[in-house]
Amino acid sequence: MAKSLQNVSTTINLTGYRLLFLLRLLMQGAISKERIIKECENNEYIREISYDTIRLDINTLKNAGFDITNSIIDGEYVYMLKSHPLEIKFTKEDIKVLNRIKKIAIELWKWEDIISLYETLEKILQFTDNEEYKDSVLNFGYFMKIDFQILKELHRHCLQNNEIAVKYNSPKNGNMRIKMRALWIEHDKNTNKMHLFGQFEHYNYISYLRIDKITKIEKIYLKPSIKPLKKEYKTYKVKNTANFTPLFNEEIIEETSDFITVKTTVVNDFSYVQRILSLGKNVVEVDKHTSAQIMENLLKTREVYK
Amino acid sequence: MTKRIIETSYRIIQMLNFLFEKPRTLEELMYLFDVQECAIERKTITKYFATLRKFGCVITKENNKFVLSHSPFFVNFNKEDIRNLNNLYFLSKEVLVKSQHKKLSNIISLLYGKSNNRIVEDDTQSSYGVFGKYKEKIEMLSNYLYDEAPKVRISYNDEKIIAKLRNFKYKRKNIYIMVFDEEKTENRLLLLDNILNVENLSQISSKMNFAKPTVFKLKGRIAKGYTSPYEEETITYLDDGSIIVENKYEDKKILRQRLLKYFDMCEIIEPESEREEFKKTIDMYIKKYTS
Repeated sequence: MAKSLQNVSTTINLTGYRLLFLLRLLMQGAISKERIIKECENNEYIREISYDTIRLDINTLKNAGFDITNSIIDGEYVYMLKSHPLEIKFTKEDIKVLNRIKKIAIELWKWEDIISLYETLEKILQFTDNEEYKDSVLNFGYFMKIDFQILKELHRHCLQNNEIAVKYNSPKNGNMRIKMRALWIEHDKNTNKMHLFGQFEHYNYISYLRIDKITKIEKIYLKPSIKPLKKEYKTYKVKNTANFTPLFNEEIIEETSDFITVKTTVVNDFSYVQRILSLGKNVVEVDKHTSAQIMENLLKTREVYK
Repeated sequence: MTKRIIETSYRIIQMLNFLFEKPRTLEELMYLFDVQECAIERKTITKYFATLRKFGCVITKENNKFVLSHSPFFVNFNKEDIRNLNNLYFLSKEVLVKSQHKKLSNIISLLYGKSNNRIVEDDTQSSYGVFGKYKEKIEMLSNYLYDEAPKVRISYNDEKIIAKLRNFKYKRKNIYIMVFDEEKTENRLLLLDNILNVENLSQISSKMNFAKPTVFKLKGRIAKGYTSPYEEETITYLDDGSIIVENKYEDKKILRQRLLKYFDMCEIIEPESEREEFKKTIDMYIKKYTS
């Protein structure tokens, strides 16, 4: 081993290599001297390092512009890299452009891509120490109210149609526990809200919860007890305009240059009525039952203005 | 008292710093060390490069300059990060004005330059392609999109609208522009397709802060679950559980369409003209669903 290290030392600088190794450890997070020694033991070019050498290396990094603190976390002294000179210098104009394109992406992209973009920008902005710039670029509006970990987990449960219990901070009833079969997640671009659709225990229809109000996934049931609903489908026809966007529970079954025919898995009657009405004058065909419900509600609404 | 440091290690970190800042020639590097009073030889620089390379740095030579094209001490972009940045690039190419697209392109190139990635200019990679036709209109309208910009006269279908432009809105395959209509004193959302011409009126808008609000009341479960989609809406909570909402920002026509979905759990309180318009909207739909 000694011989091979001697060979290496003629081509590379071993003390420099050790410093780079230490820098990489610091960039991964807070680290104690004991942990540094352990990590070095596993590196074929370093093997041994003393407390004094660690101190010397830390001083060398500090001298080169790296801001490193030594503080106590969980009763243990750890080194922490606070900032470093290897940073990107963004200008005010750069931040303006990043914010502009981010805003457009939020308006156009799928929620999965929006969250992924947030994570990419978060990674990049670690390399600037301007907190104001960081805060402004990482302000994703409504998405800041959502716990991304919970959202990703809910998405996974939806894909497997799992039965789960969630802690929900209801605007109406405060904190409550809700058991449901998770079905799908939808980001409503008009209202900019995200909803988790599912079949609730004891209710014979599909409904939804606001995702920003879900504070915890409390339980995943391995033995499902909610009997799956028999799916109800309805179809409607709309004019083919550039604005038409099918919802998650909708499928375009026919498209001509003039019209689009859509098959919907009905969530509940009222939501379907609202959906049809939201399409405005562009609806050209809808089933009789829905049409009658719309009429009944419109007449009640008209009464308000008598 | 100056703390002791290890000189050689310090110089390697300095080398990393110099190359991180920008590509450098061998002479520049030697000079930078020289001014710090620690002159080093060519073969030492070669050894430092070898040390950095051993650690995963990719140092290439382009136009006689050494380029740090990848560093393990910078963002470790994964496939998804690359896809996101590429998508931003292609989106900006279609929807931003040229100068802004160039700026974003430079930012991405800078980030990629430090992580050994490249933007691949391949048309098949563009996830949009639908906004290209708006390019000229975006350039032209963007000239009036700053705070102190003058009012404009817009030829919109058969209408002439005197307005102050506010911001673009993007929806699926369409681009809209939100404007403040000076005559109606309300905000309107105009489809770019229908804008035929824009004339500079060389006057500053003085009414922007006096947009006419629509005030509506919500009750029942709609009131309990209501959270505003717009920051500009103000909500007053009443003792009986209902709420009063004041909306200045939304296009009136779009607002009416939204409120219609709440049926009899919503009532427009004022202005009277909006109540009248809403009645007409309901009647229009009653007629539609009767036939």
